[in-house]
Amino acid sequence: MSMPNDTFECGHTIEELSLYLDTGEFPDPAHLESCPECRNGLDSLRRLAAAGGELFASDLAAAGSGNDDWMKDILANLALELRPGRSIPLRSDDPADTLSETEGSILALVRSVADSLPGAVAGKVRLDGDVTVPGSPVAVRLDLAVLFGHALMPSAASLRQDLAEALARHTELNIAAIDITITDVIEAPREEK
Amino acid sequence: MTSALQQAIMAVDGVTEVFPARNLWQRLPGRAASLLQRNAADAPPLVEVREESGRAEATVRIGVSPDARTPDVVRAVAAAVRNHLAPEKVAVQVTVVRIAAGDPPAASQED
Amino acid sequence: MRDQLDVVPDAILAGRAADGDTAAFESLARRYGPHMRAAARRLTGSYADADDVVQEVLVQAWQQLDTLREPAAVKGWLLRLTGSRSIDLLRRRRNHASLAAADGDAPADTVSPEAGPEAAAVAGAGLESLKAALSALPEEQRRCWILKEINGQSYEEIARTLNISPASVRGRLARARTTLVREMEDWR
Repeated sequence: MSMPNDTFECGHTIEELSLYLDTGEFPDPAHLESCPECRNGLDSLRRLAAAGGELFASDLAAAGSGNDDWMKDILANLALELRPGRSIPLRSDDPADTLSETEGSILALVRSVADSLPGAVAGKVRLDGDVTVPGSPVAVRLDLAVLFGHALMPSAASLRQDLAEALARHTELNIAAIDITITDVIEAPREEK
Repeated sequence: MTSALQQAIMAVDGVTEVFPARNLWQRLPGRAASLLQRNAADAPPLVEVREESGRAEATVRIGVSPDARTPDVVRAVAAAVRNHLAPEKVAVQVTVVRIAAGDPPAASQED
Repeated sequence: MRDQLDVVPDAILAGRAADGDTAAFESLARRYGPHMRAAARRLTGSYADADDVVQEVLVQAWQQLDTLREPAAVKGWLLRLTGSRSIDLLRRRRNHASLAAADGDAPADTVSPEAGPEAAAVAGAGLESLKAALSALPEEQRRCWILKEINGQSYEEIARTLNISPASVRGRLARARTTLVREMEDWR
């Protein structure tokens, strides 16, 4: 029996060993090399941690995949509210009318233009500037992930042009800048667990 | 039978969808006198038209095709609503909430 | 492009989801849903409860994603929310149903019907004894252990989830581990 009591004869406690395993902190690290009781205790705790890992793996396998029906049901029930964001005005022919597009629709447009470029996936998009005031300068800032093997610089240049065209087509914003930051280069297909 | 106005909006080039004019929690009963016939009582009005101090106000939320030009489409929708309700004087409020190929998303049809 | 979402890093998905991209949010949900479900089920004792918890967490996550400071930390955040919601559910249940079950509030497989006796005897014997020992732990210790080992939460995070001090977490975790080690070594 490696764990007869909470406190060993050397004066150290299981709580200390337990904390040591999680944090690497111990009042007297050298002691752990020489004390057989503490080392047995650590061995037992490590075996338990390994068993805990096994339990987690088994629970995770039993929970199923994110593509299973249980997740489909949950997602179908969510009914996620749209995030309209700010209201971006559009000119009207009749002074009585109020015409606008939502910031959310423009962010989605920017994402879809970026996503349509081979090897690129859009991340966060920001419209910096007061989009609610016609004519005020707006900077578009886009985070981008690029799949490994695709040329970064040509991508960014042609994407900037595609975005400028799409924004000119779908908004009346005064686009002062389009800043693209490549935040990630994706090495290889991610392993599904 | 649902709404001739809605059909008039859908007929505008570049409009892909007409969304409910208000989110659920904003749909207050009473007060607002809809000029439109609502057949199914529980179906939300896609286009809301109500009288406010003697003037009609129409509220429209639409989706626009990526191939269209959104500002032009929006102005054309406002004109179509005004035409449809004439000779009633109306203030039209149009909001674009989505710029994307129609639902379900047509896969890999981007240009 | 949709399948590309499945290969991009968490931070990209979280950033998009915070911008209102439902496809990115669903991709995150599919990525971490199984872990959330496993953790919630180990805490609450049933998949029915776990699925309720996962759904509540996803609703909350969608509403609060734009408050997440570090998008790359979205996994830990989802698991913390899962832990809190599971504990909430257990508390609600105890308040409402304490009359029904006098004692023995040991959820999750005391016996596991899906694994036959032979299967348990061979491959999963260690696992089965751990499950049995775990379900016999005092409730507060059990929760600490699961939040640590299955949800991967830090002492401070567990303390916040359970509304106790980090020192109490340390103590409960140590007692839980002591008992579990003893039970499992007895079994050997």
